[in-house]
Amino acid sequence: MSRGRLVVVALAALSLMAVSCGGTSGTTQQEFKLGIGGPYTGPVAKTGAEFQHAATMALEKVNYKIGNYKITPVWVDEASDPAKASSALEDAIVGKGIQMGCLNWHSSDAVAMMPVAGRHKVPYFFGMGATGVVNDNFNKDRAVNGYWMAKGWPTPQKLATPYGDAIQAFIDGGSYTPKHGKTVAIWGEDTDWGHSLTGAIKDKFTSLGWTVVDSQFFKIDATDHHTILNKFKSEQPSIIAGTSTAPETMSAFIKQAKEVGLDSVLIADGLGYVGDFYKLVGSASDGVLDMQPLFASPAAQQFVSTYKSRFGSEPSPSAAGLAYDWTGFCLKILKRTLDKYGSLTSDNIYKVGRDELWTGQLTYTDGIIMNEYKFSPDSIPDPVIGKGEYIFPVIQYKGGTGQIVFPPDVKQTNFTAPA
Amino acid sequence: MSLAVQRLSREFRSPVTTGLIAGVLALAIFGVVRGGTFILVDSLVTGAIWALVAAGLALTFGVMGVPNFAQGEFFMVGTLSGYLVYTALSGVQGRPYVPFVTILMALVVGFVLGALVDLAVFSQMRRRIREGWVMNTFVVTVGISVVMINAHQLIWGTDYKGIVAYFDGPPIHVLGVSVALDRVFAISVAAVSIAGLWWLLSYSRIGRAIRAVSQDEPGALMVGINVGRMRTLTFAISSGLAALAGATLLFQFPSFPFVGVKPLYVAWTVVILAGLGNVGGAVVAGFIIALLEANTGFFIGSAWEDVVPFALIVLILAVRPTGLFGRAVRSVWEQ
Amino acid sequence: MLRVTELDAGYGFLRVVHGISLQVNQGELVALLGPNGAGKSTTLKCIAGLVRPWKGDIAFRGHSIGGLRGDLVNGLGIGLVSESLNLFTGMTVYENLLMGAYSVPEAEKRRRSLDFVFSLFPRLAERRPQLAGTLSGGERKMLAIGRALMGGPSLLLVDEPSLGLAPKLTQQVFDALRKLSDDGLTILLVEQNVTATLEMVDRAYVLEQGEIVLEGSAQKLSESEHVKDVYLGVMA
Ligand SMILES: Nc1ncnc2c1ncn2[C@@H]1O[C@H](COP(=O)(O)OP(=O)(O)OP(=O)(O)O)[C@@H](O)[C@H]1O
Ligand SMILES: [Mg+2]
Repeated sequence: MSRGRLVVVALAALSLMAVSCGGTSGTTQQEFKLGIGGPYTGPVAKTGAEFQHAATMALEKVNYKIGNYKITPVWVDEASDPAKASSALEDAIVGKGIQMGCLNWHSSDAVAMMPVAGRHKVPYFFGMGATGVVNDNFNKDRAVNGYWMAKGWPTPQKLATPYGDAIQAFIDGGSYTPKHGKTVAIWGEDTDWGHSLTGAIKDKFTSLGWTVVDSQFFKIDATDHHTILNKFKSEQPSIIAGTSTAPETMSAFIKQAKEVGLDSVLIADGLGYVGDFYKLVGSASDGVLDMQPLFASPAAQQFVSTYKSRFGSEPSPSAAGLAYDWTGFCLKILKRTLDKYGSLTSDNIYKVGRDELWTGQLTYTDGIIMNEYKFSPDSIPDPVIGKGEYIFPVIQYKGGTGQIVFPPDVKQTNFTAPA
Repeated sequence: MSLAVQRLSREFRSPVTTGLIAGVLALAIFGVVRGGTFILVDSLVTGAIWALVAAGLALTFGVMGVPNFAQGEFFMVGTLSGYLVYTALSGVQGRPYVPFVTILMALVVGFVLGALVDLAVFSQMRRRIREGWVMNTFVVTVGISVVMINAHQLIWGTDYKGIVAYFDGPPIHVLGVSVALDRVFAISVAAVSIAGLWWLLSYSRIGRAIRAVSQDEPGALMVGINVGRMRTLTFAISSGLAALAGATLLFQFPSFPFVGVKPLYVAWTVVILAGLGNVGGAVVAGFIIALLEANTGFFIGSAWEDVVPFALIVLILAVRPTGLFGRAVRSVWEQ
Repeated sequence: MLRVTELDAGYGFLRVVHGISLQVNQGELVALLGPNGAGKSTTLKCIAGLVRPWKGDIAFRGHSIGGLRGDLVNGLGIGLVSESLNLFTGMTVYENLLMGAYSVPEAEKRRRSLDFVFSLFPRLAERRPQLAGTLSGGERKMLAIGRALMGGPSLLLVDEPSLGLAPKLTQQVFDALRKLSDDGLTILLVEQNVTATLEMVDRAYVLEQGEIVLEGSAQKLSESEHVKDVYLGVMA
């Protein structure tokens, strides 16, 4: 090796070192800090862990790179506590310099984080806090709360409408004939959630020409539903539809429905969120309808097996699955911003969100849970709900696992009416 | 027997009580005619369980003057030990004796734990506290409850630890109402336990001693009763009964740290309605509350199930501050 | 049989009994006399283990029992009929008597005691299934004495049996006590009814403001000027 070439190599090595040490001064790579929210500590830290694992997998998929930007995740711990959530976000923005945020879990935390994002004008995408309060705040003061750009989970009652469509489809398809005409009875826990969700179900059924024969609500911790169920039995509805968020309440309701001898189709929204519900409910859950996101596609199955082998636990579709997709969508937004404006700043990202995400121009179709993640001026901050877009499929349980029975294009099996 | 008759006639002497009993009977008949026989059947099953939990509460208050706000946590202990024993016996599940072994173990665990709590806490307090006994023990039981809830959470987590059913078979039909085998099991256990408690308190030497302590503590000392031991025994029996109830109802109350909250609430409602410290009254009131719940649930709406009995209690206390059946067992703290 | 030496006792900061000493021999019927609030009941409760002595010694059959728990004192053979009787008002007469024999394991012995109590107070036999809380004052007193006897005590402590009773009933109760004493039972009796008491007891102590001011045979005390002035004078 000649003396001259040695000098060149040494110079090249030095300049490389200078670039990697100097960071921003280099021309080859810049760092972009992406805040990723989640309940990493606190009572639902298990969900937080799923967020972190799934987001990591999404980032690895693009090699932590968008163009010449190196994407560094900053974990924003909402800790299931609004006060901690807002100060964690504040710290991430002011202290760690994130220029964009992604994901969150609780509605109450979302409400506390919204104004922080707005004050610093840092766009925050796809928080999963879902209740109507988030929408109200978004619509009330869009100049500030509009930086909470888009929700990762629609207002729950909007999701509940497919039950009516599904039943109608079963009737049309000949797999189901209502035993006692188009009659439905409504049940639910006596909470905002119970009333708004069952209200949406009720409206849908009514609009499809069904008669609501009874509506019954019970205390959230009630485990003795014999009175309600015996009353339903005497009223003979073809379908009983409702929800509860308390596992002991939900499992007692389903078991007792069987005990009482109801022959109605049972819709129990949210049963699948109860970890291992089959241990509590057993075969009484066979035939029950619910809506749950599932890992259905081959890509999703692939995700599950990778996740399991890497992290040694079972991912849930609603936490890890959606977090994976939404992180992917965030990265797509970054890519688009870079293509359009040439640099990743909060301002540019916000403009892409406002001009392309809200208008429905920019959508995401590479997810593993939904076909297409899409927003529209009518839907925001919620995603567009419907067939082919954000929709939880209707599933029917058998032996503790759910199989998609609706919508038809993704269904895994046919609906089976109770004997 | 004449004793029982005498007691009953004494309790029914008051026109208010008689009127209330008549009202309850009328309500039962109305419910059955307008709603269906299931109102009666469900009230009997639920009432038996409430009676079991409330009887222990009444006993603790009557004998020890302790308003036990940790009774629900002994119910929780019952569900937990029931779950642990039952799953440990998974190899032989399906054998008909397994549920009985399970609930007996829970009874023993509740009994022993109750005895330990009394020895560690209330016996010590007895030595030191002269005034404000009821208030002090109230606060302490709340503390015990918090400790037990947190211990459960730390050691076994917040998961729901439950079972599908003790008995698999199809429900049986009683008066046209289908009742799951587990609930038949529950009502049988409750009936046997209440009968056992009744016999123990009425006719056994130890039961008489317990009643003696509740009626006159110095008197009990004077006839040679080890009062401290009777108190420990009382707390142990009461905790054992709550645990027994919890294990028996495991199919409806999966174990988790806060599972005792609802049973505690109902038990207090029952005991206040009956008259503090009145064990026999608590049994009757257990059925009354269950009947009220069922009727409220049917005619007004399940969300009102707790409200109506509570409103009734306020009403009754306004008329009869000592509760429906008065304080048949005079408690030590009154002296 | 019973020897109390320099006993101090009281409640809270209030000392009620100031260094009293007294003695009851086997088979004796001894009275403890004194005005209201003198500390008579307190002394009995100390002996029976219901009140903790502050100082001094209580010996029963040569063994110290000071500060021993009430149930254990009862087990040694000391029965107490207290001033307020402490009956189990929610139990029947029969159950109350049965409770009296709580620490007697032999059924045969219990039956004999029951027969004896019923022969002493036939009235109780008639009222056997009645709740103690519904008995008349005289019947209650009989029941309380009967209950104490059921344990087969060798020393009976009786606190003011005449309290609230008509003279005729008082006499009945006194007769019963005299009879028990004649049958060999050792009795320490607290009374304010000085005349009637001194007629039946062997010896007596006079307690005033927590101190023994006089003691001696019934004969000697009835002749004492102090007793004549303060008690008999008032009574007459
Ligand atoms: N439990 C108690 N607490 C506080 N003070 C008490 C208590 N019992 C008695 N005393 C007080 O002790 C003093 C002596 O009471 P004690 O009952 O021994 O008197 P006595 O001689 O039996 O009187 P009497 O003839 O009225 O029964 C009284 O001043 C009384 O107020
Ligand atoms: Mg006295």
